[in-house]
Amino acid sequence: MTFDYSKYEVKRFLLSNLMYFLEEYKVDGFRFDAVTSMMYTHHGIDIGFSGGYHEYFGL
Amino acid sequence: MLANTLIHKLKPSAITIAEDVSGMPTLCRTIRDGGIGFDYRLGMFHPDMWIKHLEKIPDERWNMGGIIYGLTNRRWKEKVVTYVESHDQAIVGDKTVSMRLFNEEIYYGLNRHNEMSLNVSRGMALHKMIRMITFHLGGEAYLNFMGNEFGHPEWIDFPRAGNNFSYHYCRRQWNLKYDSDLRYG
Repeated sequence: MTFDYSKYEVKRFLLSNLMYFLEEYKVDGFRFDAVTSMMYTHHGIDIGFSGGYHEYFGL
Repeated sequence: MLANTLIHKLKPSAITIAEDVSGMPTLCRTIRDGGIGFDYRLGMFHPDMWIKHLEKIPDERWNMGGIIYGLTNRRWKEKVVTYVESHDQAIVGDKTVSMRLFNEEIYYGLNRHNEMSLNVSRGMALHKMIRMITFHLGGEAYLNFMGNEFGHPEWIDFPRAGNNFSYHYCRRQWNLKYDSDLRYG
């Protein structure tokens, strides 16, 4: 499953979660798992990375 | 970026860590500088490098220069959380470093009152050295998975349909850490 980050409701839900854990549990920080799936419009699915800059920018 | 902005605005001291397989540049630069705004990234290559050495390369062929390059080949001024193994290796289907090193001797070879076998001697030495080298060269922070620091045997398996919802492997055996009959105890 992947969230639809283009929807305001989805963003609000996810950001509210962060705020909840900071305020209610006073957590020291967060580890974001699978950031790759969030950063790219192709979600990193079936994509290999060789380190070339064309793979990272202008997508 | 929204998340990093929100977190750091609400709590400036909070730390955010990114698990990214793509090697995204600017991941840990500030958003002001055009980055994504994380504080640390996970050194995901490091555990894979150790597994490759343990599984595929005989001891006498280990290349120290290559190991050091693998641990220090990081972006300048990008903080890294390094690790030898994470929950991935401890979860059912994979093996931890201590399981790879000791094999079945993990169940009887770690008794302090018996003579140490060559295999256990090698295993304990490598288990220490691998962690020491990684800790010192791999980054600015070190991640441990609970129990692996004392060579925890067996794996973690959460209750699910495939194991008849069993809780048997859904645990860490903290008693082993305090068992003075064991070499790691």
